[in-house]
Amino acid sequence: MRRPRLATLAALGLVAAAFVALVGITLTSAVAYYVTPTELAATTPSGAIRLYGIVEPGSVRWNTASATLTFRVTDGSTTVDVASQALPTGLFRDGIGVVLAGRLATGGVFAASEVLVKHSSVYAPLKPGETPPPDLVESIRKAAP
Amino acid sequence: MDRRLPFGWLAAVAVAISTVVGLFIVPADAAQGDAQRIMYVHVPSAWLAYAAFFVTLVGSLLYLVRRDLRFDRVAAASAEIGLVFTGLTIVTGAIWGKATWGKWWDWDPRLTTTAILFVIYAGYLLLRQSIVERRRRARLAAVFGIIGFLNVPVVHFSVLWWRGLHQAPTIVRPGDPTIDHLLLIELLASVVAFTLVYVWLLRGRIDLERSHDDAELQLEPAP
Repeated sequence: MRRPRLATLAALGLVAAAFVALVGITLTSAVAYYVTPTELAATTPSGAIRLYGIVEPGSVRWNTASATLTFRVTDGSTTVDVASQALPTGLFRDGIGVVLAGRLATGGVFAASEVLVKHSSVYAPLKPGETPPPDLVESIRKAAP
Repeated sequence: MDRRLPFGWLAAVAVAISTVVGLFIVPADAAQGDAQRIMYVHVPSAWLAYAAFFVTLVGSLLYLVRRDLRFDRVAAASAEIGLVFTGLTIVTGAIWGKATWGKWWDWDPRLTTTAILFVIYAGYLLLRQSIVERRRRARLAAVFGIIGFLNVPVVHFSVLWWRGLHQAPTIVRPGDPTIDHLLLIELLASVVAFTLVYVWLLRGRIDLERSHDDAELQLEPAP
């Protein structure tokens, strides 16, 4: 009788292991992907977490000396100060949603090691006479020595 | 002489048209700029992956009811193409993610469940490889092909059920699509192009599977 090749069975085992691992990730970290500023204030976690909020308009500052980007994120009721040395993509701007990976540092400042820009599901070209929104990150890069 | 519709040529023309229109004719999204154009590959890939796995589901059900290997061949061929489209979805999504979010990959629910989708159908194909007896292979694969499909709605609704990085649906959502009509037309054109590619690949793959079966069944002793 012909038998399946050993490599096929080994690959099947590998795929089964990957499936179990991915379901594990889904049920633990993926479905609890981020906390909101209000939830952060209520729990004050000590470990690494993700925080989601809207960049508060007018709050973005760039400190050239320390190469740190600071801004505030809000969920409408609670606002959190953020400091990051990682630069986001050019989509980063006032009023956009961001997912921050990092931890709550002393003084209630969220130290972000990663600033991910969560773009919307609304797509439309520029209207006639409209100009693209200012690229904050590009202006920061230009300001940097 | 193959007298069936020349899907290969139709697919090539449709892909060429949607590529030119998508890259050079429709305007880019105001917020994302040119990075948004990868949507015309990413979204059809994801939809065709769903559709391909749905065909595998139907083929599996029909096989279990009728016990005709033709349906098993359709299920197997479609799963293979669906896996390729899932891979393409993940790769184009990573490129789009790097340009807009700032990261190739993150363990967001949509991304993680899509990785699960890839693993499920890789498992389906490997399961087929591992069963030598033809009818037993068809039967067990059909059961796998039915259960495996359960993850497809999970992938689609993951962005609504759980918090994540990936944005919510634009087209398949309650209410109007939240996309400019010019961009929507190009998106639908690219879906048509990808569908033709799928049909072309499916037909060729079923033909190949049939010749394979003909050869294999000759080797097996009669029941």
